[in-house]
Order: sequence, then C-alpha cells, then structure tokens
Amino acid sequence: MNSSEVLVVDKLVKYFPVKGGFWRRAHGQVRAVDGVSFTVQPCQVFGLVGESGSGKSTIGRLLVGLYRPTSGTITYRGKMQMVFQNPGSSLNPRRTVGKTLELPLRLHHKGLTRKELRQRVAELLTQVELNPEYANKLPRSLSGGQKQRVAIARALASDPKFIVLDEPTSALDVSVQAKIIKLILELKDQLQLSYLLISHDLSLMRNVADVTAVMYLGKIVEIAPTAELFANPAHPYTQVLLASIPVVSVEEEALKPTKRLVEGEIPSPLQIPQGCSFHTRCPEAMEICTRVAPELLTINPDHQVACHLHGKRGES
Amino acid sequence: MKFADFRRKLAQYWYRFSQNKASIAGLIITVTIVLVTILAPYVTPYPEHAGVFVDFRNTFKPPSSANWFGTDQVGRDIFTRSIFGYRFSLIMAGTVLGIAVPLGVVLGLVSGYFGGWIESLIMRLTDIVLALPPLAMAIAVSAVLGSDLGNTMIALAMIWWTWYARLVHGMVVSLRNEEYVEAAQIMGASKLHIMFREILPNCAPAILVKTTLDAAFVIELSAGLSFLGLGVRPPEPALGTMVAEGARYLPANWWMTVFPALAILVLIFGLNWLADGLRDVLDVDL
Ligand SMILES: Nc1ncnc2c1ncn2[C@@H]1O[C@H](COP(=O)(O)OP(=O)(O)O)[C@@H](O)[C@H]1O
Ligand SMILES: [Mg+2]
Repeated sequence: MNSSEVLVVDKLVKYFPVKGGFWRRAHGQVRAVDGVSFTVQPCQVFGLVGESGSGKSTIGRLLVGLYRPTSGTITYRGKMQMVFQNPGSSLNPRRTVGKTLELPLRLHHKGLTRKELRQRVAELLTQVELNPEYANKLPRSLSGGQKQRVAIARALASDPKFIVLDEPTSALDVSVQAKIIKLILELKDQLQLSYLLISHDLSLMRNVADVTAVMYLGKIVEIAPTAELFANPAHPYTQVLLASIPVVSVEEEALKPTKRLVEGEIPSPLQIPQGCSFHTRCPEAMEICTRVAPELLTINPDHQVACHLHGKRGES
Repeated sequence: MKFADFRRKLAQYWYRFSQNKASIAGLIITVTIVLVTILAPYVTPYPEHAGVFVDFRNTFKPPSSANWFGTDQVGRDIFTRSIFGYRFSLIMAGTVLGIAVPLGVVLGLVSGYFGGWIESLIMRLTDIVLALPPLAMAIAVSAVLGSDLGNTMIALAMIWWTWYARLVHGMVVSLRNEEYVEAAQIMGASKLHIMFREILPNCAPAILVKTTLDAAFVIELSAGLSFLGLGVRPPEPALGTMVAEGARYLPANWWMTVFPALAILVLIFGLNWLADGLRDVLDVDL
C-alpha cells in the first residue's frame, strides 16, 4: 500500500455458489465480482456505476467485511462503514434513533457514561442536520430522507475514514436526494472522509465522483477521472450508458455519443459469455472479442479501458 | 421516551385494542381470573373445602345463595373448588410455557441465525417431535414417569418448545438479512447482541400473541389430561378432574359437571379473545 492511498483493492473475486435440488449441492457459481482492482485516495469520491446485477453492492459488502472474498485482497487504513440503499430496512424498527446510534458509540468508545453517550448522540444528530430530539423517535415516524440521515449518523459514530455509500439516494424523492448528497459532500470535507459511491445514476456520478469506474458483469471495463470519462468515453459500453442519460438542452444533445446497444438482455452472471463478456451486446464486436477477454489498458494517464478496439492500438 | 410520548403511545394502543369489544372482555376475564386465583384463600367462601374435607349433611346440594355452584358428593362447595381448580390450570400453563417458550425461542434464534448444521439439527428435531400427537406423547411420558403433576408438565414442555422454535426460526431467517442486522455486524456487534437485541424484539409481538393463545391451549389440554385421571389426584381440585367426577352423578347432580366445565371454557375464551386483541394492537400475522 502506497503511503497516500486509503484503500487498495487488488484482483478481488467473489463467486457465490448456486445451490439447488434435493441435496442442496452447488450447481454452479455466480461470478458476482471477477477480478477487480482499484485504489482510492484520501478525501476522494470513488464512483462505481453499472447496471443492476453487475456486482457493485457485492464489492461494497466485501469492503466492509460482510462477505469474504473468494480471492484477492483489500487493504485500507482506519475504519470502514457503510450506508445502505434502503433507508426503510437499514434501521431496526424496534429501536429508537438514540439506541441505534448508541451501539457504535459503545463499541468504539468503551467506557462512555450515559450522559456522554446521550451528548454524543445529540452531536451526531446535529451533524446530519437533525433535531437532537429525534433520539427518542422510532424509525416508523421518520421520513425516508430523515432515516437516511440517521443511517449516515450511525456510520459516522465509529469515526470511520472510509464509507461505502450503496445507492444512498436511489430510494428517495428527487428533492430529498439533492439535500442528502449535499450533506454527504459537506461531511466529507469536514471529516476528511473518502467514499465508495455506488450508483446506477450517471448524472449523480458526473456531479459527485472524482473518479468513476464502469462495471459490467463483475468486471471494471473502464476507469478514469470523472470529467475525462464523460468527455472521452472509450469503451462501447460506457458510450452506450452515456447515451442513455436524459439531456436537458439541444446543445447537450448534440454533444452526446449516439451509440445504441445491440438487441438483447444482460447475460446472467451464472453464464458469463466467453471472451469479452460484453460482446453479445456490443455494437462494435469483432471476431477476437468472442475468444479473448481484453485486459485493462492505459490509454491516457489515469484512463484505463478493457476493450480490443483500444488493445490493437496498444499493440501497434 | 418522554412521559407525554409514552402516554400518547399507550392511548393509541388502547384505542386499537378497544376497537374490538371481545378483546376487552378477554382482558377483563383473564385479569380477574388470575387475581381471584392468586387470592383464592381470601376471596372464596369456603377455602377449607379445597382439600380433604367432608360434610355429610351438605352433600349434593343444588346451587343456592350459600353454595353458588352447589356442593359435591362429600359436601364441598363447588364454587370454592372451581376457583382453586384455576390454580392448577394457571400453574400448568405458566410452568409449561415458562419452560417451552424460552427454550423454543432460544433454539429458534440460534438455528435461524447460525444456519448450517446447527439449523439442520434443531429443525430436524422439531420435525420429529411435532410428528408425535401431543396428547399421546403426554400420556406416554406420564405412563413411563408416573402420572404426577411435575412429569406431566415436563412432558408437555418437551413438546411445546418446538412450535416456538419453528415460529422464531422462520422469522429469524427472514430478518437476519435485513440491512439493520448487517449494519450491526459491520459495527462489530456480538452475535448475542444481534440475536437478542436486534432480531428478538422484532419477533416479540408474535411470540406474545402465540403464548397467550397457547396458554388457553395448555389449559384445555391439561383439563383433558386431568379428566383422564393424569396429572393431579384428588383431593387437590383440578377442573378436569371435577368434571370427570361429576359426570358419575349426571344428570341428577348436573351442577357438579356443568360449573367446572364452564369455568374452563370462560378462561379459554378469555385468553383467546385477549390474544385477538393483542394481535390487532401489535400487528401480528400468525
Ligand atoms: N448473497 C448472495 N448470494 C448469491 N448471489 C448473490 C448474492 N449477492 C449478490 N448475488 C448475485 O451477484 C450478482 C451481483 O449482485 P450485486 O452485487 O447486488 O449487483 P448490483 O449491486 O450491481 O446490482 C447478482 O447476479 C446477484 O444475484
Ligand atoms: Mg446493488
């Protein structure tokens, strides 16, 4: 681990066995994460985009230790926390907000008195812009945005350096989303946090992430500083994704890449295609793509892409 | 929670509970019977009739103001004996469920949360025990161990835990992947904390409702057992035994059978109605 990085993920792999039948024997495996490497710098927002099922949440869960990697390594400094997608189920319906926040405080700051605990809970609530009185409430009486604020406060309670944000706003109303994102960014600056931001919302990524990685069927297919990625998308899949962002103005429309996806569903992660896993839907698929899986290649400083279109350029 | 909040919440619960008149009746019946039973020596007209007592001048008296439920073949007051008979019912329900509920709940939590071979072992065991008819099992245990009260209660408890293990296991399996459980895991909470503090409170309403229903069920069953002569022996009154004894003097001395039988029914209905009310208040779907 380089002295500057807060997180280094190296060749991370997670396969889930698929069980079925009378004896519940493993039939095959879901290759949810299939050789992913990246690094995150301090105070950086690292964005992970991709369609549903591409393995984003699995990476988040591996980072915080909810899953054990099949292989590969995760190295980080300090503590790691997570904010989940669904504010409805991420708070225990039978525990008050105060009780929910006390647990990490008790576990990470042993020997706090009751009064100190209550005071820290109030501070945390203030930090996420909630009234300290909310400590007495049950999640039932909070709105989605308020619940997500509590979930953020809970993540902050153990003084983490790194927080995994798994679609932190996708279950919320649009008007609330902006406020939560603003809060998350303010906290990052205040507390010197780094984030892994998981989302399928490209406009959010464009506004928030410093670096964006695009995932397809368990692999990173392209990774670059966000501005670079949006300006010069190199992977046909990234180009297709960008083409699907709704645009506001005519000028913007003209600037957009216009690639279309080849007909067809995203393949099941149980049966990932041979060669480049994207070739079944790629508008530019070539013969080599059906046989050889492309490696991530650096095409510009900090810009890497896994695609034979660029691989050929690299060879010549 | 502040006191005002607490009162508001209580008022809300009470409102939902009181929407159903039967549940109020159930609450009143259950509380009254429990109180009267605890205070039996002080509130019954002839507490000495509970045990060995003979008064040949007053045998087979029909109901009257002196003996509300009449008297039996040795002149004992049936009202007094019915109240004392509740003692047996309540001790039975309390002991059986007092063993079975905690045992079943803990085994259900452990099997649901840990999974794997522990789960297989515990769930196979419940399958086996549940395959046996409870009354037959109780009779079999009583036959082997002798038909004393303690053995009967142990026999019932040894069957009863299985339903709680299943109920809780099912709930835990669906709750263990809730994100709040995972959040607690990430924070480094112990397995004990997660099982008992995060998961169990979410199972508590269902457990409470089932326990109330089962109290009625155990009482019914123990009445059945004492009717068959298992469990208690005279002279201590058990409502089932009283019904069985009274049946020998039917139809002329009908009160000897009818009143103890009604006493059992009232308690069973009361508990069932109470359970219905709790189900509404706690939003339980059993
Ligand atoms: N615990 C699990 N057991 C089995 N399969 C899983 C599990 N978690 C995720 N998967 C599978 O792994 C793949 C990636 O899932 P996920 O990481 O949730 O994707 P995303 O968050 O990008 O939508 C999916 O096919 C999903 O069905
Ligand atoms: Mg996900």
